[in-house]
Amino acid sequence: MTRTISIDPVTRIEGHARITLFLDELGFVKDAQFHVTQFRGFEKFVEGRPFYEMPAIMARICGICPVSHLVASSKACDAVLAVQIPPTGARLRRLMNLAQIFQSHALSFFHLSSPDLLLGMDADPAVRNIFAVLADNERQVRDGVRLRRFGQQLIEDLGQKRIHPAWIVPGGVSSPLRSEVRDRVLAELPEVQALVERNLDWFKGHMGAFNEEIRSFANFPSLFLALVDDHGHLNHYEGKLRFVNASGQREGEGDVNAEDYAEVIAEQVEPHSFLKSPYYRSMGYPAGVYRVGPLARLNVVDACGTPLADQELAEFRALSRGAVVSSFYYHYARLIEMLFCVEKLRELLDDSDILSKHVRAHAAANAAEGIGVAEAPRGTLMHHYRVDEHGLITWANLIIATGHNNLAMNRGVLQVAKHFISDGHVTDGALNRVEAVIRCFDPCLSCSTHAFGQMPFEITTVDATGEIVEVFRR
Amino acid sequence: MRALVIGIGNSLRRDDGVGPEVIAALYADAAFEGDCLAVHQLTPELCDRMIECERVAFVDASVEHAAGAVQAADLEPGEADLRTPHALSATSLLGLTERLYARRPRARRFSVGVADLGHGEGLSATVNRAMPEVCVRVKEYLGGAGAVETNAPPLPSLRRGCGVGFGLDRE
Repeated sequence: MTRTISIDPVTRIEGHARITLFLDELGFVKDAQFHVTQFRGFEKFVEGRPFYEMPAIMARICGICPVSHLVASSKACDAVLAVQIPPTGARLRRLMNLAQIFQSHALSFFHLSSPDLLLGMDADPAVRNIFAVLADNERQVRDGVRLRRFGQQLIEDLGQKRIHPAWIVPGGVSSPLRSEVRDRVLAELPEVQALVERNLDWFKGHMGAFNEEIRSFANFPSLFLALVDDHGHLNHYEGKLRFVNASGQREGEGDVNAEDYAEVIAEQVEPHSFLKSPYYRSMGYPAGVYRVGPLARLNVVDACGTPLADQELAEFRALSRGAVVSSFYYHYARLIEMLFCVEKLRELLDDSDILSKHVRAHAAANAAEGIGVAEAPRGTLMHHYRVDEHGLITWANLIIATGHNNLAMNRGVLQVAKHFISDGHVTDGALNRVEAVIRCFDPCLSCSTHAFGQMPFEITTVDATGEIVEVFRR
Repeated sequence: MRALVIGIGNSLRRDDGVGPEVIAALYADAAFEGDCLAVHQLTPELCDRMIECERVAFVDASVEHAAGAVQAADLEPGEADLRTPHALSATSLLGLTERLYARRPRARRFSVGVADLGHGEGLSATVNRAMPEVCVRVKEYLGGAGAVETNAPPLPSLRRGCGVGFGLDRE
């Protein structure tokens, strides 16, 4: 008798999601689906709006990574303006983008995933909260608070608010950097760097305790996608699109201009989810599954381009002869990227041009189409707009970082479920691991995993006739 | 004495924006010397901000009080709702601060009863009339003295001069 286990709702997320597990006659998992059940509609309701409103509107897609949408949207608008933005404007955008990546990674590692990593995947959900983490890991909680504050404070100092700052605009940024902000941040970077390094060392020393999770958490061959700059280096702000395969070799005929993303990426819509499934076009669907985000970026780039991060990258790559394919290592990659952010911030702030007053180019709409691509904390983010002769949006397409990972997340959920669920018996540890594999990707749906150790699942087991066999709630 | 006022709310939901509106008013008040912060919700990293202060005032909208009524309550640290950083209360934030640093500021919550939580900007006339009272009471509270020491070890190295963190949806 086949059975279906439905984990519904996955609550407290940005949007809504559900997981369905399909069991065979023997009670083993034969398939799984990760459904995003809420429709946002941004691509539709922006039609008719002036293009220059897009950054402010699109930032409201997300309260965790609004800066990423500001960057990608503003870059798309730059293309509509057909302007070359001042170099300092670009550097300042990078500054804020780095600050956001830093604080977002700190949130993911220290607040969302630390209970899994510090208390264990099988810890009692009743105690999987920050106080339980605090009991034996006070320093790490304090580190997480401090590091996230650093990133958020920099965003606030630049944009006057930490959520939806209106500072990154078409043509550049709206105001130059104040010298006191630069000086303050430079003074803090040594402490921040030390905290990142301390926690990176901790993770490297403890990841051996998660061998089973490393083996089963979305650990499969796939392509990886990220932006690379002209030197093949890590660059969250600009560059070309590069795919590499699980052997670590470049896929396709070379790096692709970001504006030509549609030549290599297609999107599939599935009836069970509002989240589209992008795939590598030439491989077809669903074989063209690929991953984005920190793990992908470190697999794709030739180097980070900063000395300490490159040392860590070399050690990271020793995990595998080809690409590092276990999604458990997203946690590791995030910490390395935090170190990169520290080094890159220092490099940008040490450049005297960072205080230049020339930070924005001004123009009217000069092109009918604009594409902006940047690396968000969770992966490659694409904004694509078309405008009419008045500069009003006629069409918009967004490919969100989490969307790129949709196929991989689905496969990851299936892999974890198959590994940890047998005979139709769903343990709390198994549920935790289904959540935890999603956390590895740090999706923008991750509000559901913000409950430390306790995602409020309802699992309904139904038989082949649709009759409810069991309801499991937590 | 370092003081911080945190206004909580969404200024696109009418009276839910009373917290940020208070922040805007205090920020514009040249005589007010405390730090101001408008947030949509309370998050753990605010501990790092609070530890630099001796007194913290939270200002938030409330559906539990009559529209326009201003209620004040001193806060004690709590632990009950720390399972999600997206739903931290002021008491749990205080509790987290105390656990992390063996020290916490004195804190008081000012709750303002709402009349309208619909979509839109601007406070209702009822809540708008309560604004002067809220601001006066917040300033009076923050003029008091003393943090709470609890078996305090030497403080970790703190970053001073955080300045004003200020964010409203209206520019």
